[in-house]
Amino acid sequence: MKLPRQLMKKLGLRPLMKELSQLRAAREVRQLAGKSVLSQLREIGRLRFGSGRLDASGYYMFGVYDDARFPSHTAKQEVVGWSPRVVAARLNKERWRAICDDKLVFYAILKGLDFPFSEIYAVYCGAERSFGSVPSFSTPDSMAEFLRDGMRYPFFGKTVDGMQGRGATLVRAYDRASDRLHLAGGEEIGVEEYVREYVMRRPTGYLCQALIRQHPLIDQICGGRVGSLRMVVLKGEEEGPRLFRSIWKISAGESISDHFLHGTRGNMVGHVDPGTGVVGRVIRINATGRPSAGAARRLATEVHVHSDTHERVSGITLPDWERTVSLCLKAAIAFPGIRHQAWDIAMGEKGPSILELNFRGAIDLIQFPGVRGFNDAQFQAFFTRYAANGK
Amino acid sequence: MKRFIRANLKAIKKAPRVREQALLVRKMTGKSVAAQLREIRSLRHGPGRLDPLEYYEFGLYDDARFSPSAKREFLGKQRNREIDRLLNNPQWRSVADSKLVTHAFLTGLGLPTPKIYALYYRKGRSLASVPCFRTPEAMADFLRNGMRYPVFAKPSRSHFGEGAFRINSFDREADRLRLNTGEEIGVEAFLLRLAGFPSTKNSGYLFQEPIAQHPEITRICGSCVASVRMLVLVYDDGPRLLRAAWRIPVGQAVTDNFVHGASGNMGASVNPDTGVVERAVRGVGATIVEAEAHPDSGLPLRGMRLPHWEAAVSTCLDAAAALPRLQFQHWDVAIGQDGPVLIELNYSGGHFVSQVAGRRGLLTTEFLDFVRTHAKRFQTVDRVQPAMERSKLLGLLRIR
Repeated sequence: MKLPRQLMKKLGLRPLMKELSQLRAAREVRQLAGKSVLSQLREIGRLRFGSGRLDASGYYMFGVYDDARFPSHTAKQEVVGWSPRVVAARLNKERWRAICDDKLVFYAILKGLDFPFSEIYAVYCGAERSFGSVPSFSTPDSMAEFLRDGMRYPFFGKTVDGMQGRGATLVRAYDRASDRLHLAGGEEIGVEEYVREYVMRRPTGYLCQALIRQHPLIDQICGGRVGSLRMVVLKGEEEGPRLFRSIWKISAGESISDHFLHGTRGNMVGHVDPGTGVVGRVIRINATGRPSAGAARRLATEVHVHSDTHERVSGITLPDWERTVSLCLKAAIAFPGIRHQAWDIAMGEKGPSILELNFRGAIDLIQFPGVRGFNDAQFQAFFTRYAANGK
Repeated sequence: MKRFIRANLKAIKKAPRVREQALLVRKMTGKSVAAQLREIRSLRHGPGRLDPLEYYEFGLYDDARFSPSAKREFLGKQRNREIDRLLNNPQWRSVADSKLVTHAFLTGLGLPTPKIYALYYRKGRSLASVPCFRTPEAMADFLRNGMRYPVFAKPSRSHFGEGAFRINSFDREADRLRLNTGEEIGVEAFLLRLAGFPSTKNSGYLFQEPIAQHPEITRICGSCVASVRMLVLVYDDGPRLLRAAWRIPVGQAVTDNFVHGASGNMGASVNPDTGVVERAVRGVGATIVEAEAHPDSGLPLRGMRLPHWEAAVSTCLDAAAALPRLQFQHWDVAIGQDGPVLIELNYSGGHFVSQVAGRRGLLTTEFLDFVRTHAKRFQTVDRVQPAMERSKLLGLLRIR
């Protein structure tokens, strides 16, 4: 019998259910990989109390049990269960945070530095805040009027300080006859309702941007869905910025965003060789619902083709790779207060385009493809040097 | 004893100057040293938290000029810092800290700011197509062969205009740079001088287009840019100009910084609504001199209306609105030939000249109401500094 989550929480059953699901995962791994439950528990214990603080959930999620991919304890130890908050607190200066979190500030700086990003069509914000000559609105009525008479379609809407695609919408068209907006996925919504539900969602404001036309190769593979890159850059003092890891986030199904969110949306994520742009291992989590659904349901499956288009995803070379890396590293120099930079870059038909810079880049995203842990020798040296010196 | 000395080192260092001021004031006004010390103590523990030197710099010993309640409206440096921590989200500070980031930000919003010709950063920086030089050799080569003159050089991070130079031209035959002060200096020697400033060590230098100042202002003040320090409060419904102080260079000054009167430059209070200069002073405290005219040109200052005033205020407020989490902003705005030019943003430091020149403290009812309604407690994570409890600080800000 499946109890509702809230009830389980009230009864204090959630930790127990979590433990039970890990046992299920252990049995499944024993069947898949031939590793005894005892061996797994031994490994989990060592990793849990090691520097990486990797718990059982992470052990299964990142496939650390697989001795073929993590042949030694050293390799397994590189996989960590750290919170991005911890890494950011040690490497990034807090006073640079708003530059990343507030999209209007971030895009203003990008514009001033001549870096490519998606054109902003309109801004909704209180308190007379604007973005240069871009139409800006501070009342729901004026915003609604613009959506009817001035907006260009399609557009991508997001909150000024949103994360993980929350509150994001993809609006394809406006139907004047019915006064409704057509959203991705077929949903229709009245203009005023859209303004109330999405535009006014957060007091910090909302912005509407042009859709990035993706590179034809990416469009073909993803079936018109978003498939951006997460580029993790470590910015040293003398040595300058270096591309540390790159991940391809591949959206699938009805998802308008490629945020992985522990696989709960059915999206995929693939490791990309930083030097060549060749996509390595791509995985998909066989899970639905919340990340805490249980370890067994979050074992990753390696995939070689897109789940919808069946186009090959692994082994391909991503387009404009050198330009993308060059853009990322050049942009990284402009933000010296952020040593651990997590860039989201779109692969546009005219070249790479910056989506955002994350102040607290997700650590687990980098580790999901199960190729290499985050805390390798390169990162350890970097962290030791810069975190030890403080900020 | 050692702990007492360490905790009060600054005060101990200032003690001889305080003594000197106290004796001077007694001689000038007849006010006893004991009475002065009583007032200093009272104001130190008052809403403005003034230190002893500030008491003299603001001229608060003058009972004829300042009533007791007017004295308590003056804001000291320490309290200003505390209010800054209450009103300005620390996560937003980098936009103001780095001139390069500020420049990119303003340029991106289409707001007027001086063009940058070149960067000199040992660790490298990027700014669109602007060349960045990382070594003295590369920078020297550009100064000889690529730079446009005249050019204004300043550190990416600095205070009080330290390390700023205006280079008028380059003499190829002599291989020397001609500075605004009349000095001629070799290219390598100039770069060595830049390296000598503490602020250069961890940041870099910007070489930017000198501002073409409005001819009316140049006629009165000379060629050095005389900018306006605008204090802005960002309310929920938008920013408003609180105070404006015009910083007026005198003599061979390269910048207009007032530096508590030590630079020799002047400060003037400007009516925020009209742009009319109300009072211009030189010096502070006992040596303060109110001036009707500029000492070099002899042209009148008081009563003149700064050109492009509405545009200057409007541009400043547009910029301020773009940074809603910095609720107390200090902008330096130059009055250019064709309109205002935003020079830089600070979040502290503007409190002094506006109070000295205007002869009025900042802790007015309007300002205190703003602090009370907008103060938030932010985490300070860059340095370990205990943030004062909001309620405690607000309690102290109540004018008795």
